[in-house]
Parts: sequence; C-alpha cells; structure tokens
Amino acid sequence: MTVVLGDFLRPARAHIAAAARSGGDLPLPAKRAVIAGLDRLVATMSRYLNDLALPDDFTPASTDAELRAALDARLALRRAAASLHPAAAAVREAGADDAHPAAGYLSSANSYLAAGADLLQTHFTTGPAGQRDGSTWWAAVITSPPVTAALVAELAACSRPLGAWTAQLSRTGSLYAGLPATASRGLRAASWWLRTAASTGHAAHRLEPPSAGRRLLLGIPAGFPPPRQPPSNAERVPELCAGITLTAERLRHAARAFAGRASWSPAANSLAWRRDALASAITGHASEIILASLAARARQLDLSPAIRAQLAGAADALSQAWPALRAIARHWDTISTGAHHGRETSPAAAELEDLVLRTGRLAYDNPRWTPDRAEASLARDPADLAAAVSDLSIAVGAIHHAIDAISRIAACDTDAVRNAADGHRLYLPTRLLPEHYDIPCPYAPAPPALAAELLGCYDTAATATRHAAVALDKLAVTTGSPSSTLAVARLSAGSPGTGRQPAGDDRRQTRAQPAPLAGVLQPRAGQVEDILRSLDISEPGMLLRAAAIDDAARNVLANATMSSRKRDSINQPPQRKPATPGQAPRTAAKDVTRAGADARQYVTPAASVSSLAAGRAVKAPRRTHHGTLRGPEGT
Amino acid sequence: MPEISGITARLRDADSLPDTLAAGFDAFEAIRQLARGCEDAVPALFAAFMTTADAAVDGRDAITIAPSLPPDRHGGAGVSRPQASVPVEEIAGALAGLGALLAERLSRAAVMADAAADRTACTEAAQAAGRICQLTAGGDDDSRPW
Repeated sequence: MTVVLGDFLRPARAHIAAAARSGGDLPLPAKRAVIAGLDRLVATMSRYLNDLALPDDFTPASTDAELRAALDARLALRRAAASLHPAAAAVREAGADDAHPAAGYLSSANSYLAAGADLLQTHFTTGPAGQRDGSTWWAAVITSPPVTAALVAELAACSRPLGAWTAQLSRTGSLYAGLPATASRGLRAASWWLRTAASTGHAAHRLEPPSAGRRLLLGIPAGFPPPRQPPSNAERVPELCAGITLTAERLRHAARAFAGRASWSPAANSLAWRRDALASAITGHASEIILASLAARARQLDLSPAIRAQLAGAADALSQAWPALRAIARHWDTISTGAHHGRETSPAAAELEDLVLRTGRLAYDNPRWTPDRAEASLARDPADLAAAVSDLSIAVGAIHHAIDAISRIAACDTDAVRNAADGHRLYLPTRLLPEHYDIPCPYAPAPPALAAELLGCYDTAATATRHAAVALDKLAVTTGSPSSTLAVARLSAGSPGTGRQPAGDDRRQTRAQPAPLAGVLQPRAGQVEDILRSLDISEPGMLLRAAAIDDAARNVLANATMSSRKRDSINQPPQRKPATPGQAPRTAAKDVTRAGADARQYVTPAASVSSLAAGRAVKAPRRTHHGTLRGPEGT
Repeated sequence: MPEISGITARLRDADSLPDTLAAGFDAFEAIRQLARGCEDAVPALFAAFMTTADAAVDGRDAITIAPSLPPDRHGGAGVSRPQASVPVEEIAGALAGLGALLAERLSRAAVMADAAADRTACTEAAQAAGRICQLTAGGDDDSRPW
C-alpha cells in the first residue's frame, strides 16, 4: 500500500477540529501546553507554503488572483507563527499539562502535518548551488497551480478552527486565567492572522474548482518507489491490476533516476535500450488486446457510447504505439553500442520484465503466462477481465499506468540514444556488412543515416506512446478509474506557469535574510500595517502586504547593517571599536555613500571606453590582500 | 524446414572452434530473421517470436567478440523467407530444434576453448540458444487453435 499525502492531511484536520472543540476555558497548565502546541503546529503549517516555489512577497497585486491567494496565505501563516512564538516563550518556564487531550490532539496534528511536509520534500533534492530541484515526476505536479490552490485551501481549512480557538483562548486568558499579557497578545494576533489565512484559502477555493486539485494533492505519494512485488503464478485480475500499477510506479522512479546518469553509466547501452523496446512493445501489444476485450465487455454491459468510443480510441492509439516500439527493437538487431561485458542493464529494463509478465497474464487466459510458446494462450474472456463496470475501470487504470510508464521510458531512452549517437557510440557488427568491407574489428561505426533512422524511430515511438497515454487519460477520467490522477497530473504539470520563481531562488532569498541584529535601528514593528489600521483599512490582502512591507523594511536595514559591519571588519584596523547601538543608523547611511563611491572607483563603462579610445590598456582590477577587488588605480 | 536445413548441417559438421563459432553466428542470425518474420502471424505468439529474435541477437553478439571467430564471412545467414503456407507452429518447432542444437554445440565448444574470451563467448551464446529453445518449444498441447 503506497502512502500518500492524504493519509497525513486528513487525520491532521480531524485532530485540529477535535482540539478546537476543547474551547477556551481550559485549566491554566493545559492552556500553556496548548499554546506551545499551537506554536509548533502553526510553524509546521507555515513550512508547507515556505517550501513551495512561490515568488517574492512583493509580486504586484495584478498577478493572477490564484497566486495572490497563495502569497497571502503564506504571509498570514508566517505572521501567525511569528505571533505565537513570543506567546509560547512567555509560558515556557511555567508548568504545562501536556497530558491534556487538547494538547494531545495538537501534538498529533503537528506530527501528521510534519510527516506530510516531509513526504512532499521527498520529491525534491537540493542542488550544489542550494537550489531545489524536482527529483520525481510528481515534483512538477506538486508545484502546479491546481495543487498549490488545493494546498492553500487545505491549510485554510486547518486555520479556520484554529483562528476561532485562539481567539477564545486569548479572551479567557488575558483577564481570568493568569496568562502573561505577552501570551494573550500573541494569541490575539495569531487568531487574526489565522482567520486571514482561512479567508485566503476560501478565495483560492473560489478561483480553482478544488476537486481535481484536491484529489491530486491528497494522492501525492512519497518520492521513493514502493517495494518490488515479484509476480506470482497465482495472481487473479485484481492482483494483476494492482501489480501492474505498482510496477509502473517503480518504473517511473527507475526511469527518472536513471535519466540523470544515462550519459555516463555503463548500464546505458544498446542491450538495455533493446530490452526496453522489446518489453515496451510486448506490453503495448498485450495492452491493445486487453482494451479490445474491455471494448467487447463495454458492449456487453451496454456502457455509454462515450466510454465505448474512448476504449476504441485508446486501442487504436496503442495499435500505433507498439509497432513503433517494435521498430526500435528491430533497429537494435543490428545496431549496438559495442561489446557488453557483464551484460549490465538499466534498472528500468529489469522492472519491465515484471510489467511484461503481468500485462501478458491480464491479456491472456493463462495465469502462468510467459512469452514462451508453451505458455501461449487465447485472450482472456472479457467477462473474466471485467465482471462489473467497476472492474472495467480498474483494468483501464492498470493499462493506463502501464502505458504511462512505457511512454516515459521511451522519452528517456530517446534522449539517451540521441546522446549516444551524438557521441559516435553506435556501431554495427562488421560480420553483418557486405563482404567487400574489410574491417579487422568486430564492430564498425554505424553510418550516420542508420543512426538517424534509429532516432527517427525513437521520436515516432515517443510520440505514439504519449498519444496513447493521453487517450488513456481521457478514458480513465470518463470511467472514473483510480488512475485518473495520472491524467490530472499530466494536465497540471503541463499547465502554464504563473510566473513563479524556482523554489531554490525563494529559499536562497529566505536564507539571505539575516536575523535582526541587536542594536540596529529598526522601524517600529508593523509601522505600515499600523498606518493602514489607523486608516480603518481592514481588507486582509492590503494588511498582509503592509505586513510584508514592514518585514522587508526590517530585512533591508538588517542587510545593510550587516554589510556595513562586514566591510568595516575587513577594511578597518582590528582595534576599531565596535559600532554601538546609537551609531548604527549612521553606519547604514555611510554604507550607502561608500557603495556609490566604490562603484565609481571600479571599472565603469564610460571610463573603459575612454581609456580604450586614448590607446591605453585598461588594467584589470586586482585583488587586494583583503580579498576585495580594487580598481586599476589601486584606490 | 528447408530454410534452415543448410545452417543446421553446417553446425552439425563444424569440427573446430572457429567453424562452430562461424556457423553459430550465422545460425543466430537465421533464427533472428525467421523469428522477426513470424511476429505478426499469430497474436498469441507475438511475445514468443519477439523475445526469440532478441535472444538471437544476444547469442550473435556474444559470438561477435570471440577471438576465435574467423574473419572470413559466408555472406550472411543465407536464410530465405519461409513460404506463407508453412504453419507458424512448424517454424517455431524448427527454431526450437536449431536452438537446442546450438546450445549443445556451443556448450561443447566452451569446454574445448583455450582462451577465456572464447569460453565466455561460447557460454553466453549457449545460454541465449537455450532461451531460444525454451521460447519456441511447444507445450503439452500443440493443437491449440491460433
């Protein structure tokens, strides 16, 4: 059983709802435990959107509303988390009743949500430059607009009861229950931000019909393959369908993982590609037989003309796909990457054997079917393949998964073989050449025309299998197959972008923000936000952006101060006295002036041009012993 | 089957390692060509013939790098397309027989070979021939209505 995100999000919501039902009238120790739990929980909720590849907070409000909703939700949750930190800190030293049921619910909800966030992270890796790269086929789905909208809506649904509950906790807390004023203030602020997050999620719901995106969100699996289940000789139709789905998932992982090392791995050779084409062609052939049986069954069950037409369309698409795959296999009869010592094949080639066996056993009336002639049999009876309509949709789902997997393998192999052709790594056995060729080696380079022909076959097969997968997408949606997630995922991953930055950029930016330095003059917290409030502006979006402006202003000042201190520490004698808090504003102001002066000292286009015009060579900037670049005059 | 009788006789008559390797190369090529020609004959045997052709390529490629394979060529396998009237079951049976003969001769050659590379080539080719035999051999019930 594959673990999916829904396995964590659903219980998390249930635990949050249960916790919120505890109300605000709690014993003080329980209330302390609840505040600490809320602090952790909201921080985890905030992490979901922090991890997403969203643009900067200052993206203009004219950007599409769906993106705006996601940005607003991220801001609101960050603010809620920031409000709860001091509240939790204020009660940290006092005794807390962690055994209270409300605290337990919060703890469980946080555990589920943290596990869900971790599950999402399994689809990404961090590159050498710190950027976040997708490492699975699901990564593009996770960052797609429908899934983002669904995630925002999900977090909003979690925020709504928390917003109301924190308001209750703050009311009873401030006057009667002995909570410190800081804690009560933090709860009140968090309540406001949580309710704001809830309203942004509501906006996201309105903008994006949630069902498809939510189904995708809840169906996101972990980013590692399920364990292999070798085919047995006793698998019945439901087990075969489940096995095909599982094998296809493993194949998607294997193909994706291998694609990254296809340019250098010893397993990237003609033997592996020949095996891929062979197994894919047999799988496609068997799948066409299965779809023909399902079409016959659809007629027997008097299913809608739409389903029957789509079954016929998918079978027709497959009848184009497997011959294209076979054409590749036939080309590998003579073309080769040379001798294969050790007979190393790709992980996908090994997994494909399972797929061949299972699709063959689903197509033919022999539970022990293998490609051997002795095990050949007639096609399975349509009624045996799908006794009821629900069985038909399950069988469609299995074929959908199988063809989706082989279409991805065809795409990966196309790139890998193109690399091999570009690197002149394709050969022919000289013994197969006409006798007048006198080449004293077992292999000779494949003629370019033959390599081009092979690549043409790959392009045709990749296109044909993709068409077949898309035809099955439609069929899966129409029949309500469990595999319809694949269809939505393909659409979502291919949907136009929303101008989002790569996640890595966003994270780098986040990391680049230094913590506020003690003693640095900062604008009063929430200055712009307070101005808006004084003007009786209560529109959440405007207040969120005001809060973002306040945050950014603090960050700019902190950055400037940090740069100034770093420059001072490099350029000034070590005995220089450290800046005192009172000097910080002057330091920042000085930094701005110096930056301008430094910029003029370095090479400017005008200076460079005039130097060249005067016939003087422009001296390259040289590096001082401090490591800073200096201009040609050594200033 | 007349289409493969020539190569079968060559394989039987081969009394040295180079002759066995040369005949084996051509036999695998003959099996590949015949199997490819039969792929579309019966849907139920599509996988069997596809996989047989693939195994034939494995066997042929194994022999290709054997040091004792003589450089002179006989102009290919010399296989003609079987007549349309020849039942596909008969062709499969003939391939199974040729596969079995190949496996036996190559296994014997592997024992006789002095060079390790020849032994490896013969062993791998014999395994491929064994797979061909298994893939194309008939079952208990050879009267199935394809």
